[in-house]
Amino acid sequence: MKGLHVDSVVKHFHTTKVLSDVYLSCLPGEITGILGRNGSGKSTLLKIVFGSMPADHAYVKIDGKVYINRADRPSKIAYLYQDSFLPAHLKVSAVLDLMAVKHLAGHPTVQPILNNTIAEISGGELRYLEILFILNRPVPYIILDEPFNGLSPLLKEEVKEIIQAAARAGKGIILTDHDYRNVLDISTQKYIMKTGVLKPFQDPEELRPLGYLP
Amino acid sequence: MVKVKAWWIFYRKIFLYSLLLTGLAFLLAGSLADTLSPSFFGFTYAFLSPFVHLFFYELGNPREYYFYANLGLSRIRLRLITAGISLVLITLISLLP
Repeated sequence: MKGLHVDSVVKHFHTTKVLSDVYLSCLPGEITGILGRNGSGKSTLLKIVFGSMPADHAYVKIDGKVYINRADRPSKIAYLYQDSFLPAHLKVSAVLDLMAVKHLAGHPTVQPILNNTIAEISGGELRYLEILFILNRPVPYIILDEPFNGLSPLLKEEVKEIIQAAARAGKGIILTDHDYRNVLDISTQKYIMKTGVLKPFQDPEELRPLGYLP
Repeated sequence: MVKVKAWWIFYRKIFLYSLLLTGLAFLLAGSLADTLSPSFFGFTYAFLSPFVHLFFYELGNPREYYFYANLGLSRIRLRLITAGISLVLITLISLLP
């Protein structure tokens, strides 16, 4: 069965329950948007799905196979961390090579800076590159944690386009961001995270009684 | 192959700075003692490299771990590799006559 299915996710930080029996799924070609206030557990959930954070309990099934070992999940999932994460001393060309996205060398944004180091690239441009590289990783599922953070309105539009293009190419995408308008614009499945519980919704009006929108 | 390349990029910084600090320690100790065993160099490197790892990655830029995690090298695996290299080095030096 195709798809990324996450079930029964429970996570405590000391005595505080952060995630309470969370279920989430994302099929190829879908864009799953997760909204929620700061500290609601969105990033914790995404890190658990990717495998970089242990959970008290989590059942992760990807394209019909159960992934008990967290270290195996990056072969199926690429993860965009919420802040810039590429090593500053590396050249863009070296990053392309390591991330298996060498086909992007001719991309109009990438080509002029191939020989620059990551440290030499401006903040917004670097964020755009990180998103572009992660979306083009040879994996079927992508997790984007705050992809619109620190981007100009123009770049946000470009990022929305490349996310939708990746989904059209058959990738399953899970994203979260505080820029809820852009998340709602491109998401095909929408969830709100509140007090460790993930709830699906259709209409943004449903977010008002939950205290997410004024 | 990608994992090996990524690991070397990760470890290269630890290697170079540990080597530099070990060299300085060797020079300092050499100025205080009459003779120094070559194993002193190895032990010092093995002792210092986990601290260099701690300084650059755990305290300095833990965000980089997500780059390596995307390439299949988890934070735990990278910590174990640094600690493992130190242990192997100490074991080899201990076996020297």
